Amino acid sequence: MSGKQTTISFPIRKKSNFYSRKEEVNEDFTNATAKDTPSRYVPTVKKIVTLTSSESESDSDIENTKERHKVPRERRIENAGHTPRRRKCDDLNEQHTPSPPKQRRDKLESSLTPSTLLNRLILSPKKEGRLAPKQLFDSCLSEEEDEIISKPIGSNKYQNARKSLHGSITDNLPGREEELTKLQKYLLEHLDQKTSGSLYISGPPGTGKTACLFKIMQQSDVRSKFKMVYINCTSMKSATAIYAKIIQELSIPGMTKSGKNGKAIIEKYLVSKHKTLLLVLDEIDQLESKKQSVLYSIFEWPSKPNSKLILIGIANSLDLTDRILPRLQARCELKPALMHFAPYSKQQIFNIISTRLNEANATNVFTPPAIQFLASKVAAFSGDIRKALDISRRVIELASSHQVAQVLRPTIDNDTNIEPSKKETEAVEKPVDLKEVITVLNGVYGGIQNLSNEQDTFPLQQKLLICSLLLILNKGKNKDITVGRLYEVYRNVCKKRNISAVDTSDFVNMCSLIETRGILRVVGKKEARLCKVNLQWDQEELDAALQDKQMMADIINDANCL
Amino acid sequence: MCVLKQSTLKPSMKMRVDILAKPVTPLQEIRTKLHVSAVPKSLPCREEEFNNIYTFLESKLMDNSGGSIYINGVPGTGKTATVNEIVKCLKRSVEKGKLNRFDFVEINGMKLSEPRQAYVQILKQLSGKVLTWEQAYNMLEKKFNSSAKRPMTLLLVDELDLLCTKRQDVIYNLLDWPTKASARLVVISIANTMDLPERVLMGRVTSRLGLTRVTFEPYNYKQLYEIILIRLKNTDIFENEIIQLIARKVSAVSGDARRALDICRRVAEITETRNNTTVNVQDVNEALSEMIINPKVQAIKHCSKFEQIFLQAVCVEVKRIGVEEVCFMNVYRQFESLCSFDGYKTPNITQTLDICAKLGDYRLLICEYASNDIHKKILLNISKDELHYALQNINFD
Repeated sequence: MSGKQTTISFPIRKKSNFYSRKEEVNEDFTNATAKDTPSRYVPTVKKIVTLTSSESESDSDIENTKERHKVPRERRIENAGHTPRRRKCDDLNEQHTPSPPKQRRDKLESSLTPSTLLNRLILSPKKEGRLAPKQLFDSCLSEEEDEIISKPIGSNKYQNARKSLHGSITDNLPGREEELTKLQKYLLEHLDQKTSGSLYISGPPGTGKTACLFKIMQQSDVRSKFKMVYINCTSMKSATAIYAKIIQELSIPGMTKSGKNGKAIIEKYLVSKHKTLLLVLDEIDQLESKKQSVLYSIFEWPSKPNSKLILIGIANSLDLTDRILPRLQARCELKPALMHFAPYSKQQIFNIISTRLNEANATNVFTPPAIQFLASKVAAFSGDIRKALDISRRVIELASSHQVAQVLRPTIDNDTNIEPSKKETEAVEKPVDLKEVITVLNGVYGGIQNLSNEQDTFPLQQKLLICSLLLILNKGKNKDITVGRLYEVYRNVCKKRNISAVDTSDFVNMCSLIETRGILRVVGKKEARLCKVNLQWDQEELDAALQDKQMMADIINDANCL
Repeated sequence: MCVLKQSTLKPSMKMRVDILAKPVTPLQEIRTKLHVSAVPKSLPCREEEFNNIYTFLESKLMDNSGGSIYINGVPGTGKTATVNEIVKCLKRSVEKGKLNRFDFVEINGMKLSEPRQAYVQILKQLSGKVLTWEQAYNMLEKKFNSSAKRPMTLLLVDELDLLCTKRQDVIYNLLDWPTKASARLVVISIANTMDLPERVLMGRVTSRLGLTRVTFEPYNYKQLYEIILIRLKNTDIFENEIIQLIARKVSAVSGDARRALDICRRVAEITETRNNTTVNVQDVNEALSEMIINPKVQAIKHCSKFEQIFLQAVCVEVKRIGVEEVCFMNVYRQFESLCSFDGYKTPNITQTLDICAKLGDYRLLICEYASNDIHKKILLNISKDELHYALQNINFD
């Protein structure tokens, strides 16, 4: 038994960490059939825990560890620093959490409860697999697969263009030069004067706020002079959890598990001597709480003497600081500087797309009018660059799928499914033109056009329901429509046209189906019959869309059914 | 417990003692084929959507870039089935060496007790560990931010609308990961609502969701006909006209393929009970009338006489004052006159209140609690037509 123990001791120690500790306990027990063998009490697990969490070799309770256990352990510490596992251990160090499972192990050892018996089951026959270095996730690529990835698979111009129009953060930010210089100036000014400051950056989604900050944070001169912390506040459990996160990022010691004194620790750190701190809080409106105490105390930090903190908050709303933090206005030194990222203009979007395409040597994938049209549409709607990139990518995808003439279809014989015989289409590569752009844009933004186009797929009874609704709205005196009233009108309509009407429960179901299209909204009370029905789309437009059909027009204008 | 959390012990189900019988008669065979769970090998009438999503995912896998796609459509239009089929096809082309390996993770908003459990489920499927959501989130964050060489991950989020909370942090995080270059994550989100991003989601979430959207339209009757026909291949139990009838009935209301299949199955069951071998129109009519039966009409038909008279009294009172909400006292007056008209002895107020409360429990009426007895307000919860229809062939002798 003890021989077996020694053979697996190394892999166990290798695997030891916060997340997989429990498993090892089980492993130990599976090997031990006699539970009170004295050699069982080699507290491998316990030892590792103390070691990884404090790194101190000179723990006094290691007497009964054998010498050979130490050697592999030290080696592991030396060379494992770059594995993902190792990093997790570091996190543990920073939190200085005590490790509760230690006690559990002792308990398990002494008792013979059903759960311990369960733990003694022989669980893993695959010992060899455990000897392999443990990875953070099972699905890491092996060497040969790695090579496959690095080698491009059948690249053509479309693919290049598609790749270049990705939505992730890039270093090259055309159209944001002004903001970048402003930000840099702000940071360096504060650095030179050794003062603290707070800055609030606002702007609609997709205007490059985070990208700008990332770019600044990547610059070497900024990097060397600041200690930088970037936190996305959406990942917080609650507003107060931000303190623990900041402490973790700064790796300040002295944090208790409960996290109660987090604020005090940070404040203590801020007055102590330190490098200038650049604290970036993304999506800062997620920190709203009832009394806004968290936001207030965070925005008060820069005004503390010697704090040397530059605080940057990012959010969407223009007036967040005025609206939810009115007390900051009272003192000038507390008031954050404001910076607004305006939505991208047409020209800027055009520039961004064409630079991206130029970089990928795929300039002629789009015709210039097509990009112009796309840019003007997106700029008119929102000025969101994510949308623009998305649409342009989508257009290229559609174009390339059109050009691959063979349609992938799920045939009966499934094995021939994906034999689309994708002929190399370089020869026929045409630039994408306005038509495709319009198709994509209409698919996204054109609600009513879609309805009138797809007459045959929109179920008849649902059309009748909408017509009845329009009839009430057009001709009825009482515009306050409940499901019950709508049903009565609908029944009249059906009776008159000699169509069999559905019953109430189906009717309510149909209302909710139409609701998913966004045409109407059922504002619920408890009883379905008493729910109110509101039309969400524009009445005239819907009218016009349905007036084309003879029957629908008849119904809409038939006041007798009311 | 830790054994289960480390998932070294697989959960198993009790096996049945006897072997499952094979379907014998052609009708039974048909019934198993028509079951909703028996997804056919190919999905008819969804070629265009299949193609669309397949090219999107394939290109993402080839480019090693992240992205997200939003698929919407009313229930029973084959959204999940199509996506699963696509993933199967992609896996097959991975086996053939045309694509690189990828991980596929599937979560369903309906199966999560709380939106944040999504992290736990994702981590469980990726690495087999069960952690609390905070730990799971941290691990996932680390995974998607590390630039280690990993295969692409496809994440299918079914019933996306159920992950919406007030803060929408879960949805935000799920959709924010693909925007990072290192994440190599493609999120496929499925929901029913067409305008969910605009209606419910915050601006920043909508912006990340992107504009790659695919709408699954309800099936029209030709498509439903084809779907049923493919399931019933090589049998002549159902005639073409009958399938057409069912397809038309369903496509007129909702275009839900599940419903069409259910009706077909019910028809087969009815035929079986009648000891016929082929389906005739009568069976179909019976099944359809069963499906669209109005429980309220049945309930009124089976009410006691005084209850029926009371309902009539409510109806008369509504007609008299022209407002839907009526007072019990006035209804009682009508009730009295109706009873004496029919020659019954009128029950006293307490008994009538009892009748009223009973009808309220059936939800034929909506009434307040009996505490403010004779002044309580009563609302009719059925349409007048239904009431007349139910009472028309009752003769008050």
